[in-house]
Amino acid sequence: MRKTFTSMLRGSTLALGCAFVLASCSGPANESAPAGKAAASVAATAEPVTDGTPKRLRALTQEQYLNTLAYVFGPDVQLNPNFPPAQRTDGLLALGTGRGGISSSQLELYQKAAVTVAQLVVDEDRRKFLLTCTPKDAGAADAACAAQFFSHVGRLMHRRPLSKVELAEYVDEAGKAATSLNDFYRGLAVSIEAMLISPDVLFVVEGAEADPRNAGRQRLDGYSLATRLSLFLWNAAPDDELLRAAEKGELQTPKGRLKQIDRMLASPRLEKGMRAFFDDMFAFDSFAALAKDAQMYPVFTGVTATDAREETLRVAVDHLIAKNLDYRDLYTTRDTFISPRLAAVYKLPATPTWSRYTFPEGSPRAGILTHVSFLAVHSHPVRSSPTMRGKALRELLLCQPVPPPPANVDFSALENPKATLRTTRDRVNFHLENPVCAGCHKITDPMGLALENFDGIGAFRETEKGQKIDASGALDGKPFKDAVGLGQTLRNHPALPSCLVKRAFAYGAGSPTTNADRPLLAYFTTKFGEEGYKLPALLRTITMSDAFSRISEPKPAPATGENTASAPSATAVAANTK
Amino acid sequence: MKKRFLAALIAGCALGSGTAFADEAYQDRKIGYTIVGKNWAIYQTPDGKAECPNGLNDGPREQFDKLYPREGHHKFAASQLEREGEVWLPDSKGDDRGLPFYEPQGKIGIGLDLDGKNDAGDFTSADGKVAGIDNQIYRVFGCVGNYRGPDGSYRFFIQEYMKKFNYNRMLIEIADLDDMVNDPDVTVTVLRGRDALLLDSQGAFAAGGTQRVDMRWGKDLIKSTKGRVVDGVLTTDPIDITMPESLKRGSANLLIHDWRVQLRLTEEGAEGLMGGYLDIEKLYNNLAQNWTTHYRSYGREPLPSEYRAMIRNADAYPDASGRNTAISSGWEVKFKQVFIVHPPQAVASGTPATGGASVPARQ
Repeated sequence: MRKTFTSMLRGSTLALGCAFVLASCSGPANESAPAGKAAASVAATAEPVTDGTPKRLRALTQEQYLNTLAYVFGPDVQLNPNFPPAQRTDGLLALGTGRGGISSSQLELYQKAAVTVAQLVVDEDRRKFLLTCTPKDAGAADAACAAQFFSHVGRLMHRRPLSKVELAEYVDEAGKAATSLNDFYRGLAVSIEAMLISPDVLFVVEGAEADPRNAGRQRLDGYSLATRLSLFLWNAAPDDELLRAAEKGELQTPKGRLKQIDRMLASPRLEKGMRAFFDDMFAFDSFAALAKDAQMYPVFTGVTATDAREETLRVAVDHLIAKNLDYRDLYTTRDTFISPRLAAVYKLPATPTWSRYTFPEGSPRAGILTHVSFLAVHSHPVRSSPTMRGKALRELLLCQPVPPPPANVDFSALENPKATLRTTRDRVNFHLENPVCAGCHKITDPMGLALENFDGIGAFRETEKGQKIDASGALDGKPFKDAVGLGQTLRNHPALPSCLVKRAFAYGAGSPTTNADRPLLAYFTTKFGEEGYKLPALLRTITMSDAFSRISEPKPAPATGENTASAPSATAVAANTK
Repeated sequence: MKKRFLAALIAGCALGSGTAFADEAYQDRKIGYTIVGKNWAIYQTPDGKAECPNGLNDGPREQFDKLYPREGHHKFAASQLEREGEVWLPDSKGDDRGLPFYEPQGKIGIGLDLDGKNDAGDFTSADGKVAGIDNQIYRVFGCVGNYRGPDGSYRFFIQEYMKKFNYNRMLIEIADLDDMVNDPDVTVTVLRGRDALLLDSQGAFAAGGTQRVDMRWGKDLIKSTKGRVVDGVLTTDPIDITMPESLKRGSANLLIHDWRVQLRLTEEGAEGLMGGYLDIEKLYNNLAQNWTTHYRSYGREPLPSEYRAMIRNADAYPDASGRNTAISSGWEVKFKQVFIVHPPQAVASGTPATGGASVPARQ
């Protein structure tokens, strides 16, 4: 019986997986020009009217799934299911959650996680506080108690109330299993497991409704809006209060929505949400594959890599949320956090655990560009890379895509450089001698060379092969003399805040921005500046905007039928399969 | 590096803080080191025949076989207990019941000239450049397998305990240091750290770790002396110290009279020799207490015989009767650079982070 029920859900999940692949293949639109000063100058004082964003069908990320489980069942319900990563799309992994399918092996991972959680929930110690009722007979089915449990937990996991049919199904299956196993709790676990791999739980299927304030337009329905808000700000499913606001329609009123957003911005969950956002924006998933040559950089261990990632995320959260400071100063701040492992690279004393540290005035380090994270991730295993660092700075922080090298590029001059080319600057200058290379390298290398005082793991060096390092450079015509100067120049670059705005809106809405969004992004950027480039203010502006909840009109389906304009709901797919 | 250090110093003073910048192994005219390697200074030729022409000494098993042949019938108290009793109540008189004990032969040895004299029993370095080396403990340990490289078991265990234990965390802090190549006047302090050693990605000891000074149990171990750096080599004036040590069965802090070091300094670490006079009774007691018979059996170490050799070769600190109570000793030592944190005054201002105390901005 259990097998049948699980197989049923497996079938529905696979079907949904196929469906959402088709629904999400529109991909990012071309958007080459950075939204900088020019874009900001056209910003209106009021939010420009845009088409909004499409309804999205996307998979919960592993973090979102685990965060939700922790919030619903408690932080000690921990597991490491190793869900497959999403495909980075338009600069964000979050946008890749709307692409791809679910293979049977992936589903197996979900199921293993679900089994573990189900067992933990009905564990003798935990059941006392995770279950809101006690069965009349622990050795038999108890429909009333099971219904009480699933109506409460199912609402949180499904991010909406369960339908009568859904609730009855969970209760019935739990009852059958309890009868078969002579154990109420084991029976309950069977249905919990099924719920946790339900497509309605694993996938976010946004729903729309007519917008009464804008005739002819659609908006997210209340529960979908709650989920969009919660995944954006908390990286987890909505809590009870947010769902209640959705249920009452309060989220669809400016006052009600603002109340919830301010509550969410004040919640400790915001930290996890923003850690996830910046981890994504900074492409820190690269750490998963980061390796340094043990002979060249023996001090760099796996713990160093983990701590490097943590350092920058701690600084981002501390600077932008705890202290509510100017986003641009993230690139100049000397405040950071140090672990013992990082201290060995920074050549600093450390406490046995994480501690605050401020690089002194005159230190070559200021801002997150001089963190081990950025410097090590954007380097080769055996040496630094001005090109990789410059490219990362352009793409990740300024949203300026750098084209890949031509297919017939000749690397010999770099890999077997002349003996006279002693420093990295000497070698990469070769790029500028070749017109084919120069086009791109002149927009990456000058910034990357400013970080040459830091080797392939981010350790400071004054010289390279006996030559004093020249770390001077320029960013879009603004000269500087070293990494600190680069940080200051980047801080004042108009594309820096506009890039954050673009990433935040795309991340929150779950879909890539398009050229049509440029006036909207310019408006957000202007407002961001007016409010001192404070992240919470930007999050409030974005989540309170009409664009955040407005749903764009579905495009007509092509005659070939290869693309579908909107995804079928998970419930519909599941219902058809059931 | 000197140039940079001076520039940093000038800048630091200009800021009124008197401190150097970050990313420096030494700051505030200080550099710290933690011990990561320590072996008795044992001179060895490749086949050992020059210094140990009779081969290596017998250990507990071999001696037991000679004293109590297997074909005989031996009472427990008159065999096992008897010999074990001699470990704990060693006798310096007599000839150890006819058991031989081989001391290293020859004049070549490793170590420091502790007394400024070149006495008859002193050694000369292999290259002939240093004479008057005082390392009489070599006469005791030199032909005992446990102490010889590369695989004498004590050599392995003592390095292993560097990772495993913390009580052996001997720190050296060099202060008033203006130049790591030549500085005629520096202050050298010995302390005990209480943190694990930093390991690199290959499991080797790495520079750049942090050691908090043990002010609870290690306060009495803090001793300072003066020294000088000549051509990158630090030499210190003699001082009595207690050397923190962790062995298998406990903390065997050793009193060393006239301790001093001769270390080549770099920003990454220091390497060289350590020397001084060890109190024989305390040394012997430590060896007996901390290494059980099976450890001594690994490396054929006859402890009662060693005691006689210690008495025989003792060369300093005579008691009222004129009998020397201490023996000159030498160690080959390796240190890695660490940041030494002195509580509480060295903890810089700063708001403690979640779950942790603030880190010193600089020392």
